[in-house]
Order: sequence, then C-alpha cells, then structure tokens
Amino acid sequence: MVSEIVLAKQELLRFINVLDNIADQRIEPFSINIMSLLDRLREIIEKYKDTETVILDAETLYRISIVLGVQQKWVRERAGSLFIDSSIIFSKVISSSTVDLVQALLLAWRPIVRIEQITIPLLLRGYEHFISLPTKNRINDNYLQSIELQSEPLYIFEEEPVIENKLNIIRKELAEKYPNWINYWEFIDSESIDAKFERAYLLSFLISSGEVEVKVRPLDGKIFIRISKPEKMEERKFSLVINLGGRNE
Amino acid sequence: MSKTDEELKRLEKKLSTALSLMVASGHRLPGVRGWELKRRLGKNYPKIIESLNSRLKDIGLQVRIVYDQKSEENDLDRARFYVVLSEPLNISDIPTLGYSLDELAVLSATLAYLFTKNEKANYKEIVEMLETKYQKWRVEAILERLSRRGYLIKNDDGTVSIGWRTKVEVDKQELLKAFLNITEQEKSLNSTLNKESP
Repeated sequence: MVSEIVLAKQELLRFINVLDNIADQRIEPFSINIMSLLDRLREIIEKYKDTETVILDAETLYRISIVLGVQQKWVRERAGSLFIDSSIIFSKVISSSTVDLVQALLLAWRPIVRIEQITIPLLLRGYEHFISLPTKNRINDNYLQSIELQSEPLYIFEEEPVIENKLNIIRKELAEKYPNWINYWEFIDSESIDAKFERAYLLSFLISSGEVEVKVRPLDGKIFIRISKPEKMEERKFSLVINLGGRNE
Repeated sequence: MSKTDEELKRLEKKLSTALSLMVASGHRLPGVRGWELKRRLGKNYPKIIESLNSRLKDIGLQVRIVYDQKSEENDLDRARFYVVLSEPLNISDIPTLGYSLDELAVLSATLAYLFTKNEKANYKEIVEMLETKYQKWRVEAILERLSRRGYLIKNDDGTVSIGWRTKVEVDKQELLKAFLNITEQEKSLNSTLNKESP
C-alpha cells in the first residue's frame, strides 16, 4: 500500500515536470493528452487522500491550466501563421537557395532608419544649453588692480630654528652624557609620552644625517645608539623602522 | 506673416523635432518613447506623428509604433516610435546594409522557423536546420551576430526567441507568405520542367 502511494506521488511529480517543460515551451504543447491526464489524476485523488498527494494533485491541476493556456495561444499563433508548420519551413530551408531565402526576408523586412552622427539641430541644442549655463565667479579687472605684491614672503617658517635648537640639545646630551653606546629605548624614555615621541622624532633626523650611529644586536634585537661624525648619504646601507606605538602597548 | 503661416511654421518645427527625436535620439537603442514625444511636442503628439508619417511615405519611410507587451497596446505613451523603410529592399541593396547574403538567409530561415514555433525554439533545432546549408561554426557565428544586433535572443535555457529588432523590422505574415510563394515558384518551376521533359 505504502509503495503504491509512493509510486502515485512519483507519477504526479513526473506529470508536473512534463507540464513545466510544456509551459516553458521546451516541448510542444500538444505532445500530452490532457483528457487522459485528468482521468489519471481523478483515479489517484480518489484512491489516496493524504495531504501530500492532494497538494501534488492540486499542483498538477494548476499546471494543466497553464498548459491549456499555452495550447490556446499555440492554436491562435498557428492560425495566424497561415497554417505553416515548422516542418514546412524546415523543408523549405533545405530546398531553397540562399537568394530565395534572402528574397523572402526582403519582402517582410523594413530596417530601422537611424542617424548615429551628430546633426546641426543637435549641435544647436547643445550650444543653447551651453550658453544657458550660469557662469562661474571670475576675478574682474578691478579686483586684480587692488592686489599689491608684497616684497617679503607671506609666511615665515618659524619651526626650523625651534627644531634646530632641540636637535642641538639632543646632540649635546648624547656627546656629554653618553659617549659610548646607549640603549635606544633608554635614551628616548621620558616622563610623558609626548616627550618620548619628540625625542624619537628628533633622533630620527640625527640618525638620517649620520650624526648618530645605530647598532642592532641580532641575538636579542636590542638597538643601541651613539654620537658619531656625519657620513656621506651614499655610504649608508639600510633604513631602520622602529615602531614606537607597538613598544608602548 | 499671417496667423496661418505662423501656425504652419510651428507645425513644421514640431515635425522636424519629432523626426530628430526618432531618428537621431541619443539612446542606446533606436526609437523614442511616446512619453518623450509628449514632453517635447505636447499632448497632440499622435496627430503630429500622423502628419509626419504621411510626409515620410513620400520618401519611402514610415513611422512604426511598437508596444513592449500586448497588455500595453493602445497606450501610446509607453509605446516606442521608430522610423523604418516603407518599401521592400532589393537584393542589390544588401552590401550597403552591412550584411552578407548568408547572414540574411540565416536570419530569414531562423525567423520563419521561430514564427511557426510560437516565436521560441530550441537552439539546437535551429542549428541543425541551418547546418543543412552552412557549416556549424558559420551558423553559430551568424546567430551570435544576429543576437548582438537584437534580431534574436539566446536564452539561458537553450532556446532562441525573437528579439526587439525583429518585432520592429520584420512583418511575420509577410515573411511566412513569402515562404509560401517560394514553394509556389518551385512548384511552377517543377511543372515547367516536367512539361518540357519528353
């Protein structure tokens, strides 16, 4: 009994699949006999009345209604296409020459007329649009006359002497307090984080110019610095990146 | 200038605007929507299009109105307006159109087949039919080009249907009638040959 229900459900699913194919026009609409299909549906629904079978039956019925619509459309199209069957067209294509086929098309073909180039009216429309746009604010002659050139520069870079003074303090500190190698982190260490960053920043200038020598111990990665004589830039061999943020975390 | 002259001049201006909108529109696809014509020409744009159509007929052109869907028929605002040729072309005109004879033959056969198949058919079926005349690679290349031009649509489910350009440019009834006439020509040719043979 159970296996019969399963078979009936499988049969309904097969019907649904075939009907879907017809609805999507993958199969010709009259390739299925709707009357015998309805009879079979009646048999199934009278025999098995469980929910799943009823739902599948309803699904099949719904698809049958769609297929009937497709069949109706098909008949209308066929009537409108002078009862010419696709097989007639197939045989016509085989038996006709290329010129015959083209001539048949030419009788029914009316190509679209379209200009793809710019035209004088389009150019004029574009020009009208351009001159209708608001003009941007321009510097007039009066304004230009009122400007006087200043002999001195507008800005004075006051930072340079300040930085230079601070670099001198660092140089002096290194030369007097630490004539030998000193740990980089010990040297830049300060009470406030701002001062620490400032010392590291200033030190980077001295290292770049070669006034401070740097040594990295490969075993433990410790960095040491000491004052030295400025070297030529060409002789410098590598760049060194020190992450202050990472050390503070 | 009299009032009548002024009105005539205004009408002429509207006709030229309508024509430039349809023929020289800047859209990706040719043609213009009804609502665009309404915006430029006013509510009476169907009358202006009618007047333009009668003028165009004198020079072998005509206005064609195409609806995207059947449900939209008679809703001119949503329709698309095109200018198309009004008279059939000659076979000698083909080289100037940028198509080869083979391409047009493939288009002709494919469209006729699709029209008898409810405007949609299996791609393989079409290729098989056309393979009787041309090599497969040639058929596929031409079908690809025709798809790009908008005559055909290659669907993901392995089917081919007619494209927007076919709806505008090709008269289904005329094409099928032309195919029937080829048959008649053949029959008459065959009967002539039979009579001539001893």
